Amino acid sequence: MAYETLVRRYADLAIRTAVVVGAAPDEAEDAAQDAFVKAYAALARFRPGAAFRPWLLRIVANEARNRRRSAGRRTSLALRAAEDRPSGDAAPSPEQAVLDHERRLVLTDALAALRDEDRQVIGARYLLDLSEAESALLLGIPRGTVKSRLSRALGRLRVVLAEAER
Amino acid sequence: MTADRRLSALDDEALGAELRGIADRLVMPSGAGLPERVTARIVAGERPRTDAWRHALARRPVRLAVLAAILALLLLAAVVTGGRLGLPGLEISVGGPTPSAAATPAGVALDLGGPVDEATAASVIGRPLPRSSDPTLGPPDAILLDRRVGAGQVAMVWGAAGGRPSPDPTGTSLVLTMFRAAGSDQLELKAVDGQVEDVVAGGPAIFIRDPHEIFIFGPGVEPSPIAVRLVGANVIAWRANGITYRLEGALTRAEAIRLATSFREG
Repeated sequence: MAYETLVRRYADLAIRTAVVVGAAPDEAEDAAQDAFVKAYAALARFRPGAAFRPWLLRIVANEARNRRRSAGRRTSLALRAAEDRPSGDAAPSPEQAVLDHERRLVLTDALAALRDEDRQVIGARYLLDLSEAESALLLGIPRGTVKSRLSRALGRLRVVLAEAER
Repeated sequence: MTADRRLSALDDEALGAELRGIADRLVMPSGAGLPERVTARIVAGERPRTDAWRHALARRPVRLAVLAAILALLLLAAVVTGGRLGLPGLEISVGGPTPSAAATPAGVALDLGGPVDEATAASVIGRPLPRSSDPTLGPPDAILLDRRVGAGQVAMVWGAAGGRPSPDPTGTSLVLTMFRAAGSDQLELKAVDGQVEDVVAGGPAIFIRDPHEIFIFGPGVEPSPIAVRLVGANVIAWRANGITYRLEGALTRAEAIRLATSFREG
C-alpha cells in the first residue's frame, strides 16, 4: 500500500510531535496512529499543492491535545538516562558528561514547567525543528504570532531557569 | 573573565541551540510497527472515530451539560410548535431538505490554477488540447492554467456524470494535466512500493495506485521542490510530443490504460 510509505517516512516525526504537544509517551504512538488513519480518510479534502507535512502534523497535534485533555493531566518531557558519548579526542570527560547531562535536565524540567502555549511553540521551533511557517500551521496561529509568542516563551523559560539556577 | 554560561543568561540564539541539543535525547516511543498497524486499520475499512464530543465532555462537563439542557428545551419547543421555533434573529427548523453538494465550479477546489479558454491553454503547451474518443468524456467542464509550474500547466477537469469514474468529494471525476518540460524543469512522480509499470502501448507510461506525493522541481543545479501535491486518486502518466500528461481519477489499472490511450490531439 503506497500510503504505508508515507506513514513510514513521517512516523518518527509524528510521534515526536505528539510527545512535544503533551501526550504521554505511552499514548503518543496511539495518537500518531489515529492521526494517520484520520489523515488517510481526509486525503480527499487535502488541498492539493499544500505541504503535506504540516497538514499531517496538525492532525497529530490535535489528537495528542485531545488525549491529554481527556486524561486530565500533563506529562513531562524526559531525557534518556544513558548519554551517547562520542569516542576519541572530542569526547568529554566523564565529569563533563555528567555536568552536561545535568544541564540538559535543568532545561528539560524548566521546559516542562512552562504553560502549554509556551512549551508548544518552543517545541515546534527547537525540538521538532519546524520552520516558522510550519510551526504556524501546526499551532493554528498566524506566522507573525509564532515569532512574538516564541520570544515571550523564551523569556518565561529564562525566568524558570533563573529560579532553578539560583 | 569567565563567560556566564548559566542557561538563564543566554540570548535567544544560544538558548535555542541548547534546546536543539536536547531534542535527540528525549525519551520517545519507538514507533516500531506503526506503519503496518496503520495499514491494517485502513485495509480493514476502519473509519476514524470522531472523538470531539468525548474529549469536549471530558474538558467542560458543566458547560456542556448546560448547553445540552438548552438544546433539549429548544427541541421540545420545536415539537410543540410544529417543527419551527424562533428566537429574535434566529430560526431553527427541525428537518427540511438535505443540502445539495457544493456548487463550486469544477476543479476550483483542486488548486490547479484559474480558468482559461482552450486557445490560451493550447498556446501554453504548444499543442492542441487532446480529445478523448471515450463517449463519456465530452468537452471538459473546466480548463485551468497553473503558471506556477514551469512554463504553465494546463488541467482539463471533468465532473461527475454517468459512465465516468466515481467523483471525489469535490465532485471531480477526472483530471488530465499536461505541461511542456523545458530546460531543467522536470516532473518526478514519486513512485512507491514498486508500483511503477510500463503500461501504455506505444510509449512509456507509469501507473500509480493509492495516495502518493508529486514533487515539481524548479530549475537549478540543486533542484528544490517548488510544489508538492499529494494525490489521493490513482494516476497514469505518460509523455508524448514533449508533453507530460497525467490522468487522475478513481481508475483501475485497466480503466486508466483504456482512457489514457483514448486521448488524441484534437
